[in-house]
Amino acid sequence: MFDARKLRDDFPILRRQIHGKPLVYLDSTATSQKPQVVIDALTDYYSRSNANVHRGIHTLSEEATALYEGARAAVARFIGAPNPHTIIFTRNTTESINAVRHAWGNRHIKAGDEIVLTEMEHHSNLVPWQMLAKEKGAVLRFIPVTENGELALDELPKLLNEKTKLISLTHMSNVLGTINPVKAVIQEAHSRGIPVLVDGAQSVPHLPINVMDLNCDFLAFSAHKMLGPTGIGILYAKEALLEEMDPFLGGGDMIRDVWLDHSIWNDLPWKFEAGTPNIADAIAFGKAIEYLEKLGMPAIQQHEQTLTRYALSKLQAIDGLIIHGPKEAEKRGGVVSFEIPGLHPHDLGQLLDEQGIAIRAGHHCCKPLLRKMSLIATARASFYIYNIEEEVDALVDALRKAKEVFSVVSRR
Amino acid sequence: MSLADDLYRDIILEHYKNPRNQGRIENPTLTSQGANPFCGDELELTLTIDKNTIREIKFHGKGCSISQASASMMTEALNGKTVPYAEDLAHRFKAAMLENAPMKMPEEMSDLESLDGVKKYPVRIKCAILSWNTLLEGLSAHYKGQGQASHVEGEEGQRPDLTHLLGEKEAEMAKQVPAPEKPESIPSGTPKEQVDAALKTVIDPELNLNIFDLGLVYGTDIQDGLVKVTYTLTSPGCPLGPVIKGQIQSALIKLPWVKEVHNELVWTPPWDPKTMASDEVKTELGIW
Repeated sequence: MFDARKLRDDFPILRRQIHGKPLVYLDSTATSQKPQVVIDALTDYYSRSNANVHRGIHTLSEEATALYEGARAAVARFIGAPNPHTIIFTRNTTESINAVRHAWGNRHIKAGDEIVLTEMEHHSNLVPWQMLAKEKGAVLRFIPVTENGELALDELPKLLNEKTKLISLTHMSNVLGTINPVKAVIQEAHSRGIPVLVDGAQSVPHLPINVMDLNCDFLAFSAHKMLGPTGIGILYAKEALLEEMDPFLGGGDMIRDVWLDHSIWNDLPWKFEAGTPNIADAIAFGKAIEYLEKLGMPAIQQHEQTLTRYALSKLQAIDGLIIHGPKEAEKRGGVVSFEIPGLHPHDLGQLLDEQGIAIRAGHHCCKPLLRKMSLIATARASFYIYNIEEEVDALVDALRKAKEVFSVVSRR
Repeated sequence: MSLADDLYRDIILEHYKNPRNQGRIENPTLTSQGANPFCGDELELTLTIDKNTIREIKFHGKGCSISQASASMMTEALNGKTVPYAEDLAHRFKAAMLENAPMKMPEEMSDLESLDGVKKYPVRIKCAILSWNTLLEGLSAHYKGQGQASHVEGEEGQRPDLTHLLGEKEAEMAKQVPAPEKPESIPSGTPKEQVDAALKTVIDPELNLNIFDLGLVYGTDIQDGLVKVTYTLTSPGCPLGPVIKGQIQSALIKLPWVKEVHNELVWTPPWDPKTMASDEVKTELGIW
């Protein structure tokens, strides 16, 4: 049974005080906090089982390998991947997307080809494609974003043609919270033989995801936004794509045999994991997944939606406050971007910090989207499994106080 | 002392709410634009400078309370002051912010002292100095007889200095590490010679010899910036085809005059090292 209040005890950081006030952590979209089981998994691994994987013929190495590959299997199970070897461990979502850029893009993108993105992409799903397009002489096209902060999907068929080689889009906007209808985009793309990469950095931690059901060709996401440690990312891809892709990093572990002048690549997934991997963090990520599975993703989504609906209604009641993105809670994840005219988000962030409240203020690594909305920065509160209504209330109180600080000044 | 008292002093908030000298001068002698890409703040200064004296100064832009108040106070302080005085004041203000120098200002500019609290919040220092850096950039353009300047925070080698994390001795050593010298490698010779030289850098990974001397290059055709390469591989099953193709592409595109590379893989005539490879390669491969 999902109980946010109870599970808060599992997160030691939530007992911290900031500037003498209890921490109200509303920045899980940037990175989530970690439960004790994940923290323990790190120390357990280093204190009990530390050894290199896939190498030693000794107990510790076998243990480490079993734990590491066990984490891979947990990831596969979590997203409904047909086989653990379709799961590649990377550093983060950004590296996963860059891996596709190099390992798939180098081979398939040629001069004049087109890659379709959206106007709401995080820099990590924009800059790699800009680099590839520049290198190859390819062209980027963008699905526009409407006033309500949703994708203008009716524009999609007009953007696709025989030169379109890839669609890469975010499943959930980290600025607006919009949940994009990626399944519809994938169906449209596949009807024309175009593969689709889904940036799941924000969606995989918060929504039930099944890659077989979505039928996406690539899925990229990060452990640290879903209770896991930093330094672990995931690239899922369909097996046939992974088989034909070249490795993008050369070195140990990714080879089956090596001569002085050439090498033969290892099997999936190790072909893409050169060098000693991030064993400890992968294992701890496996524990984070078990934790999420126990709670159940549908329950997590429901909790966040309830909290978001509550936050939207409370925030809307603040005089002058403007909320960006879809007004309907069911169209968004647990992310609320807002502004108070006359109160710069950085000033707001600083004043809230003084009350122990952590929000994000800035461009959220989405400068093109903010430019389109004629904004330079927004304040963003985001929610996860451990957030509760009282924290929304604390945010609302602190916002009212900040407004006061900025309004009581009279002309000298 | 709470943050509101310390950072958001009444004087600062008052300038933010009622900025002095906001707007644009119509026919300014000097326009300087500043931006801080990290937070998105933007600022434009317009000045009328006559006989080395600032007759009028206005600012215009978007930003947080600290950046806007600092700009407002700055314009108020500089009206009617000489250019050297303005520069000196800017350096003193920056020293107070960045080097912890005492914030001592003439009495009529005492508002500026209210910004002293900002330096306790390192992430906000850039907000306070944006207008001053924009001013300094503008004045240095003015000295060169130019009427336009722009400043972007974080450019001009303003990398964060991390040497304070080191010990004193290590910090001194870090300063002395010379940059590696770059060998001059300007390609020389006719375009054809340059293309051939570039193709000699493409190594067939299986034989570890370059494709040019192996005789795998059947022809090159140069038309201005367009280079066409016709080539073959040692065997049709060669799994390294894409690798070699990529290498040809990147070796040629490095030549400064090359705009586009077309490479065409052909299988006729089949490659025969006996007749096609260079003498050195034949020796290497043991073929005679």
